[in-house]
Amino acid sequence: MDKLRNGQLHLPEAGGDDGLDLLAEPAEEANEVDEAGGEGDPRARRLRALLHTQPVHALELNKGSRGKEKYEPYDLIVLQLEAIDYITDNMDPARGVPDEAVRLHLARVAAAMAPGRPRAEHREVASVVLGGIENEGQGRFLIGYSDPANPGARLRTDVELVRAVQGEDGGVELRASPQAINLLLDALDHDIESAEDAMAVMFKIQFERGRLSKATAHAQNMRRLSISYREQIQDFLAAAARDITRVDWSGEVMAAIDRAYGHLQTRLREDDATLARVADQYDATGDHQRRDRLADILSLLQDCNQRHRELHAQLMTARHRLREHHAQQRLASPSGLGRVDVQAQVLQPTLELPVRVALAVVERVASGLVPPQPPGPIDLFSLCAHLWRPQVDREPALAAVEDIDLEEDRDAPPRFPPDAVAAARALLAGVQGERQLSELLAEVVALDLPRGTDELVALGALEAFMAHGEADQGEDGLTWRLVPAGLRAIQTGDRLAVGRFFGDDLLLREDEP
Amino acid sequence: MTEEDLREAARLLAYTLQPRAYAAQHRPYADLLGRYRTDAAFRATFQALAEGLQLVVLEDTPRALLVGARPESAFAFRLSEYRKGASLEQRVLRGLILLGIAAYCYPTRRHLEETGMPVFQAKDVDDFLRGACEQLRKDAGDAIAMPEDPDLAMAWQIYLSQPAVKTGERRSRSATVHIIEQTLDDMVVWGLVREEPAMAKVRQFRALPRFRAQVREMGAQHGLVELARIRAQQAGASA
Repeated sequence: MDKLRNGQLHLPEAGGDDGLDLLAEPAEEANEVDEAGGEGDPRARRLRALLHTQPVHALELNKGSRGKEKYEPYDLIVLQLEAIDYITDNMDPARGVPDEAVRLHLARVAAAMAPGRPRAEHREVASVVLGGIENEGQGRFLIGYSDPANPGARLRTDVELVRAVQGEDGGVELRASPQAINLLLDALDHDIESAEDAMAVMFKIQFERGRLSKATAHAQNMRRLSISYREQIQDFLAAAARDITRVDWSGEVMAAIDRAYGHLQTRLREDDATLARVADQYDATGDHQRRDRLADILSLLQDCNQRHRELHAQLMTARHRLREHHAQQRLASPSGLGRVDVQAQVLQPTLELPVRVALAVVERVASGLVPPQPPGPIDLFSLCAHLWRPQVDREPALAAVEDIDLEEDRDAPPRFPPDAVAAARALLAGVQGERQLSELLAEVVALDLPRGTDELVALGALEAFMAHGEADQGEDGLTWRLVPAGLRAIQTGDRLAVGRFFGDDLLLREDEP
Repeated sequence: MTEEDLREAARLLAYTLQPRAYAAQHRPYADLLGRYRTDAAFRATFQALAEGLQLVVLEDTPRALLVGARPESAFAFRLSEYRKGASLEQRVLRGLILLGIAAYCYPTRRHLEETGMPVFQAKDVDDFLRGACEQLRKDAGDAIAMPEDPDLAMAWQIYLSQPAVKTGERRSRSATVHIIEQTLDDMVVWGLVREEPAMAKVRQFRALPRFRAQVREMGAQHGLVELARIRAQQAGASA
């Protein structure tokens, strides 16, 4: 945010932010303060500029730990600069450079450094260099240092050289950061907008004095600056889009975009004038060597100009896009939970839980971490493997198993009292010709037969309703049958409603002998 | 909304259910994704369709539309069905490892906001988890022994009861580094990480943006909610 408040888009050097990151610092980093002041303090700026080269040196200095003899012939600083150079030259606004391409390029350079060594080693060195400059995929290096104004206090700065992004095809691509590009410009703590203007002025002076080689060098730097500027604006726009709800988007962000837009308009105007001047000289000169020089300069300037135009167009639509993003984010239902510190808020408390409780937590977490799993068809191979798997000795149960007494409890009262069973059997046995179930049930009430008799009569009617085969249980059936053999029940279509019983009435009828 | 719109939305859904499919590899996917990103009515249709299946859009990028499954969805990953037949200890271990990989890659909310794609080895995750568990052992007093009955153990004790690597002639199936590597292999299939060229013969992995989206939008939130529920339950029990 400092860069916005100061009314200038600066390189991401202050605040450790790559744009608009307003999030709280993680707890473990709380004892070091993000540099906030020192923006105007030239000593602090110089110190930070110096510190920003630290990761590049660190890799070279520590290479001994990877095998002193093995790494001796490889200059890891040169390889890192080579990587940044290669990425900067080959990336475009939409795409980074596939990591494999960078690795191949670096392996070739490494091979030139140590031609006698095996190719696998060259590739390994390339991987080490890539891993180094992108800080093992994390991108940002955090560097602690003492405040020059107050040596007791610790400050923190960060630098990002190369960032890995996912390409459109899902592959990994690398992009150089504005800070890395500035490494190539021998200047680390730049305000690119003023640097671009200053470089253009220097180019003009050298060019008008006819010092073409110096002018070419300036034109090369202008080209790098324009790439750096594009990266910075894109980072800024991405951060604004991501965090639009958390910043004063209609105020500071828009002001920053307007300013960048103004800068580009000036640049485009001046680019055109410069290009015209160089083109005029090119047409006018007859000297071949001079013409070649001028052609180089022309192509460098055209490249810058092209990039400025693209950025200009991008910024024109940025305001509109940010508004759209803002509307989308407002429409999206808020999670209500905010962001989470996974280590401190989820992992740590889970480790402290008893195992079964922890299982409940990790089960929930796992269901959220893994993408949807389409319920697949049964795979015959694994099914067979499962069925044919050798029997394993099961682990002892985790909790003590209580022996359950399966012995029938003979003291428990039978569900239906024997007198009710006898009464129901007698009533059903007494059916001669035809009787409606409802009549029988009414009779149970009228005769005040023992409790449960009505239910048994109803059951008996259902039993009679069953088909012959089902009802005929042979000798065993005699112990539980309620209806005498030869008694059938049929549906009459009448409805039954006696006491607790509802449903189809049944007609009980003696079978024709 | 026409029947054709619905069909198209379902086709897009089918692509989103392939975690390793990217728009640049499939022309129809790119077209459908473009439509999703620009046509509000189509987006609403897709979201309704997804919602009915208990799926949630986590993030839409020009590369892919990332969709996650709610725990009750038929598409949800279930730890209990993952590598069936595992004991309680093994299941907790696998769950802790999944959570541990997430916490290693994105320890703080700031990491979840950034765009880094961390590169790491199984051993890094093990050191990270083991370190956290060792600290808990120290806090509890080093004398505390792993109970005979694993059911009575704490999660950290389960982790520490397994060796990091087996030094014998065969690699132990329960050595944590081995399980982490196995989990990472599965995560490659799930499109969450990618295997990188090995360094000095040690396998390297890189976390992909989908993993961050899963952690940020679902996994971490689920963990937080479940922990809050457990705390409320414990508070209720002790009151």
